[in-house]
Amino acid sequence: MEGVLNLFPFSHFIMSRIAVIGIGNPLMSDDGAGVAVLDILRGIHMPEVDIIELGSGGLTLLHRMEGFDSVVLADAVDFGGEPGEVRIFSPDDVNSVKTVGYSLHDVDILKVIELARQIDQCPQRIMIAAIQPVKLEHSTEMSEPVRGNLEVLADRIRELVLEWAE
Amino acid sequence: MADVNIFVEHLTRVEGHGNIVLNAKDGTVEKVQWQVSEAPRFFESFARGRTHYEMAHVTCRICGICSIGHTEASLKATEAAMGIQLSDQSELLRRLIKAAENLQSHVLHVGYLIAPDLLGVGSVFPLIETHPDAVLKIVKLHRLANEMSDLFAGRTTHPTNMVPGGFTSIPSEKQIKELRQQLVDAVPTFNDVAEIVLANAGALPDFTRETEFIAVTRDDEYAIYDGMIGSTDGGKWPVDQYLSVTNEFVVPYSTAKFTKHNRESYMVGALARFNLNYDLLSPLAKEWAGKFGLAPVCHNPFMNSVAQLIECFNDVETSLAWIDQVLENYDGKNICADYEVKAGRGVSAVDVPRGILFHDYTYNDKGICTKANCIIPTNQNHNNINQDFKAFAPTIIDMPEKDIELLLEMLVRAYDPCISCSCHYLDVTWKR
Repeated sequence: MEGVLNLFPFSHFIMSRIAVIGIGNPLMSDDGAGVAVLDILRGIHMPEVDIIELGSGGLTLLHRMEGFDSVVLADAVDFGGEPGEVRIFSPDDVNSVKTVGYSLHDVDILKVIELARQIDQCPQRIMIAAIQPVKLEHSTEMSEPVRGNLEVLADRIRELVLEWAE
Repeated sequence: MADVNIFVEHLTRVEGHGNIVLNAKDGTVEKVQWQVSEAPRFFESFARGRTHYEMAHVTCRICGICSIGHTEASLKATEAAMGIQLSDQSELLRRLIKAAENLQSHVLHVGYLIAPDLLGVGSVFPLIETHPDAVLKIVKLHRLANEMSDLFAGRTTHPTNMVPGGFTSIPSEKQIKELRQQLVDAVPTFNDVAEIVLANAGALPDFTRETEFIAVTRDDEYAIYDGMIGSTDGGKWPVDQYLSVTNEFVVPYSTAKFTKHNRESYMVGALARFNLNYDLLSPLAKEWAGKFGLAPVCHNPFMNSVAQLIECFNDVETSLAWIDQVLENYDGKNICADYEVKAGRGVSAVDVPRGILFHDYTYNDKGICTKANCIIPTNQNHNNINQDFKAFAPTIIDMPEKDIELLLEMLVRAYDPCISCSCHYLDVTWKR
């Protein structure tokens, strides 16, 4: 099923239990890692998983998570790690240091998760599969440490999904 | 009289840098500026060397909110360059997709950014405590707009179904009928949200500065998808003359280029469309405009949010009419026009939620892009925001500093500028 449902209209009506949602912009170098890792995951056998590309969808995440019990959010995250370092953590493990400014465009996904919880439309389990970006600039090329560790990110996501699926 | 020094810095580390600066001495404003960096100036480098069928998929990444608008502007520029004619059904479906984007963006902007200002809370989060019904209604309408986008475009953000010449797939008649019913059922919820905004609209500052409004315009419909460039100062121009309207120029305090046309600055967006195309609004939209006391030409930029709300009613009502037209002659087979790849230049204009958007491509005979330009609405509004600041700040300078700051922020928010859209990485610290 992987790689199919994200092309299907009303994908959230199909009540798969687990989703991997890729976040980021491939035009912004390492910010695109969350989307790029989906290409690897589509080639890996993972039963009962929807693979969804959110891209720069921001608040649309609220509705993309709806209907799933468990969600992995794949994203570039500046957590102060080594270049390309991969970490899996819960949204509850971190504080956002982003300042949300004047517009809808600069959306903090931790805030979206908080909103989903407050209106009782949040999956029971959310984990963030993070990769430490090196460069965030206008380019379709990712840095070598991030590109080189996408397989590691995909493996960690797969492990997590298999654990949840048991 | 006390001096005032305000510096509101909203800095994301890579881009999306918008600052408010205000210095006043003895009650006289000496300097007030909206300073911005960032804009998709990288656009041309991404576009050059791409094949014509890649262009829409790349350019839709410029903006996460106006992803559909960029896709449509891109496809229209390509279709203009190669002389590709769409079927009537494809034209209608493109309009429906545009309406869906307008709906979802406006619902978000009014619901998540403007409502907290009107209700005197800092963000949508306290609103969940104080006005849970309102938040749930906004979420419901946002979901519906997303479903409408998913249905017709394949995906809300970075749509998948639209290609040069038409579509790769379209929904079934049954799906379209179901969506139609959902839109009909949603009207009472739109009314409820509008009532809440109306009850609190007194919190919108009464500020007027005469300016020029620029938008797409047509004689036969309230234009958002297609038309000529129009101005409230008079005049209509074909879209390929856009450079004579935008007149980009550089200012020292901003890396984003500014624009001006007939006056010192101009405004684009929902209020511009409302002011220019009011006569063609749908009945319910006009009814709500009357309730808000909004009539063209309105020069209060804070009313842009009200114009967005009014456009939501227009989007719903016109979508119902377009759906009926699609269903009347539904053709599930011929969904993409044949065309020959050829060299040429094509310019398009689409009025996306934040205003008129231009894409301009030149292709060689292999359909490879050799030159591209893109002018986004937010860049056209920066200059107008600055001119608003200059007129507005002296009228509020006697207020407490915190109030001045909030009012200037509200003014910027009314435009919902797209200054930090491209990058969505998270920035966190660990809880210990």
